[in-house]
Amino acid sequence: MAEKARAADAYAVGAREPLLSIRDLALDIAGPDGMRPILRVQALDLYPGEVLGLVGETGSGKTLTAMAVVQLFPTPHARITGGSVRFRGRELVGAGPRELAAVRGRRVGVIFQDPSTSLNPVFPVDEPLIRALRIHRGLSRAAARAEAERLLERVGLPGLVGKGRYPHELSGGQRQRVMIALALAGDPELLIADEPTTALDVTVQAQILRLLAELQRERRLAVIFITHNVSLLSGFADRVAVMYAGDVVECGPTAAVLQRPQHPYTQLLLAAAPRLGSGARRLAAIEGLPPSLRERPRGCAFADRCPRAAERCRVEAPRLAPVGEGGPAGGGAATGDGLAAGEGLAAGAGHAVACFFPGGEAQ
Amino acid sequence: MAAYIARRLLLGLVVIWGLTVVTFAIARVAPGDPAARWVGPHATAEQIAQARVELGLDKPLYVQYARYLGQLLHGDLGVSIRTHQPVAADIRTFLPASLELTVAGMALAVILGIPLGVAAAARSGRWLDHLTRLTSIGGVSMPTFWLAMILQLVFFKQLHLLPLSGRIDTMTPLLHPVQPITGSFLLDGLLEGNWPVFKDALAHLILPAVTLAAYPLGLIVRMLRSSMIETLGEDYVRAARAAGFKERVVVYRYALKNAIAPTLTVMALTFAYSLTGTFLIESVFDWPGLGNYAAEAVITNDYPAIMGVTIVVAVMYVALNLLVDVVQALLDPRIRTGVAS
Amino acid sequence: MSSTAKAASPAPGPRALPAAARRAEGLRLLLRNPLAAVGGVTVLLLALLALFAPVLAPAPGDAFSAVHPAQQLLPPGPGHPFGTDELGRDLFTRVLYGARISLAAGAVAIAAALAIGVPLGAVAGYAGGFWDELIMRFTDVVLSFPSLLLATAIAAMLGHSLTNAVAAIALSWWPWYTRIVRAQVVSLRERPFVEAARALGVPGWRIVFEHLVPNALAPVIVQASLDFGSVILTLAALSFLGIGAQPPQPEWGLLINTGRNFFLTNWWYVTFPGLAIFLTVAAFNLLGDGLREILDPRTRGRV
Repeated sequence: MAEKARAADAYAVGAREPLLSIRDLALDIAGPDGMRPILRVQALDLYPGEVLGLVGETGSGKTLTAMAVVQLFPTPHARITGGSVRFRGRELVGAGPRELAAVRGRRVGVIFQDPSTSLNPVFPVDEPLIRALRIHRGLSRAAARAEAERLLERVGLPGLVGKGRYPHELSGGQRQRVMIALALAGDPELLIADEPTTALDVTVQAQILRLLAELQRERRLAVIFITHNVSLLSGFADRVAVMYAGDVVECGPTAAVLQRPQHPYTQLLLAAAPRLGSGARRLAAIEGLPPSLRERPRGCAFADRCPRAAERCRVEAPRLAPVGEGGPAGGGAATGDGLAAGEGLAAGAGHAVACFFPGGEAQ
Repeated sequence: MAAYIARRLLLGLVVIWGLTVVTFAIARVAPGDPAARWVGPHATAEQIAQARVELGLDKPLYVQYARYLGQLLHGDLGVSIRTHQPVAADIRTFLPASLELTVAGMALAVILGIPLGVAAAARSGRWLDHLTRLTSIGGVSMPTFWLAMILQLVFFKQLHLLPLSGRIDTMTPLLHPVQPITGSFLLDGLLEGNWPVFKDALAHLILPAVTLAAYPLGLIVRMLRSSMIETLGEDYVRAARAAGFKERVVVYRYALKNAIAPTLTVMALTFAYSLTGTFLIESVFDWPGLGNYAAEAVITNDYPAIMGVTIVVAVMYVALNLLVDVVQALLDPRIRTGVAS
Repeated sequence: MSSTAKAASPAPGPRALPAAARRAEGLRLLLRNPLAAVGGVTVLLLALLALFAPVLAPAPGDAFSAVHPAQQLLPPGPGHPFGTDELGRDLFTRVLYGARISLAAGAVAIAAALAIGVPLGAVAGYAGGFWDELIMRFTDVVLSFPSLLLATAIAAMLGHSLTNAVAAIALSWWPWYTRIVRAQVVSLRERPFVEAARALGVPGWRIVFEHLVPNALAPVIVQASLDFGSVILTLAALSFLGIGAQPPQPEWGLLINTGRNFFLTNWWYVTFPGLAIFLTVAAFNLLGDGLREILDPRTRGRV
């Protein structure tokens, strides 16, 4: 009882309704030998106007989790097999093409990782932008052109409308700016940015990040910022969610997660992270590999690589649970045990971790 | 763009010159004495010797080739042994009917093939896809001349729905006179509002056109399906969906314009194939076209006619490929500006 | 076993498997692709039918010349499953023997095209420069003819016979193989084992035919097997035009050509030989499609 009360307190911050709420999301990929489990996300919430940094190694399921909102996955073989994705209170799992179409572009804008492959090579870059403005905002052709001009100017590309410029005539940074304009054309409330700077030069990366931060403030956008580079998050993200092997293992306010990481994986991830500007990306420097998602272990997915793993970690999977308010919770009774499945899961805005032995020596 | 077209055009001319070398070689290397072939099987040795001089066969090969090339450049394809008419004149007489048939067949194949190929790709792995694949494999595996007869058996003999053969009933133009404008009963009937002629011509065109369409249809569907599947997996298609565009717009506008390029090449290829395919089916349908002419030439050893038809069709093929290159450049700005994809 | 197989493949890709395992995997994928499996089994069956035609045919004597005035143009029935022709010959027997002609002639045509195309491609790829230009521009020109047109022209000029038709097909088909072999040889030319052979003073022609050609052959063989259906179809077309097989050969295209004069009143005459062509070509095409899918890594996953 006391535990539950404490848990409720931790999420009192989130008195507002979440814009996006993911619960027990299960996503499989059809392979030659049947369905392979890829994602088992216990809980993830996003509040209006909030920037959530989604971090993890390549293959940890960051992109698939975020794309579950619009149900556009990089592979046609991905299927959501269970759980719930609620956006503005609407359930999107099992939604028909009509409901999804109402969300895509209009409510949720998406920026993809590689702007050189995300722009259609045989259409002028302003063409899809004008079309999006016409269908999402009901503008006339002339008004849409004017608005496109304004939008492109805002992202730093003035004088591009009606010039018949094709993607191959633009630089990588310019292409990503076009993508940003396209993502914002429908005036969405949520922007999903999937590693938007990974494919760009270092100097251009900073410019694009600054632009995104400005636009987020101007338009009070909620943003899911996917990255494997933790150093990009401080100063931009309000909250951080760390993913490992298809699930969120720790989430919370950026400062809390980055300064007082509780999950041993987060701690190793931060220790391996490069400082901003050092250039090198060395996230894979943690001993061992994530478990093959095919033979998903019964217990904690990180147990095999975890310096702290105990007997319990190998037989029982820890649930996401709140971290005690007073700094690293040495022996917080609630941690790891979580709450009864289905009841107000440990997500919300507070600091939560999925580990039986959180805190401890953070190196 | 102009430089690109000029380069292609030059390349096309080189290839056409190559074609003349090959046809010349085929005509000269073939066993038997061309002079003997020219005068026929019952000629005397004296006549053959005279023909040899007449045909310039006593001159060295390169002189013979130069003479051949000179004749070609003047549009002189020799005289048909069978019809005793200049081959060029014969071809002018018979080509329009074949073009009408080929264009109708190709139009049918393209109109059916594009939506089928796209639908199969969009529903890849489902029953419509399997059905389409089976049909397209059937289309490319069927001997056209056999399909022609089977269609005649079904639609003429059994169902009495369509005429057996010919371009038009003998009586129709007599009862409803047409002014030849294009030389095609179908088009003239349409242009002059002569509905009986139009209807009759259309009825006669259906079976041969369907027969001719089977193979290109199969190829177009196969080609478009595979290039469309590849395109639908591209990031920009996902981005178009993420932008909230309707699936129809995403598939038919954004994806199709990318996927159509390789299919265009196949279309040009199959157009020439269909023109050659008329060799096989025009005789079955008694269609008074180039194919019928060529088939007759082939069995009666009418060498000038065979070589004349060969070079004309081959040149048309090269020209068509050139046209496709230009259209592809118009479709893809990267080719236009000379940027490798 | 597996270690030697591994050593044999010079550059293991991301999916590198021992050769034997790869073959087993390929076979498994082929069997998983139902259409390809149907094609493969049909091809096998047709080959067996052709091989055992003399045993299986109800009237082997009817395969070529025979006249049975009492049995002219009988519809299909007991004793004559495909009916009889205008001379009273059993059509089932003739179609069965036709399989021998089509399969054998197809194989010979492809072998001959390979015999022309492979050396030319190897020389073009290895020699480079002038010879490369000359050979490849010539293949370009030959490929600018629609293949049926060129085959028809050559067959017509050579004189009307099955042998000449096969030769005509080979003469119009070889450039495809030249292109493939050249591309392979060009990519193999700079490999260390070739440079080593050159350094040792091995003469050029031996390098080409002992080192390069064997290594370049696999994709050509695959393409050749894919072409089988088209070649059989072309042969039937030439025979139908009257410039391929000649009577009394029971070639399928020729059977249809003869049957033309009777088919409106005797439907079986053209129907069965045509079905035979259709089934054979479709079987090869299905098999070829399956093979292509297995060999193309892009479509591998989505069988």
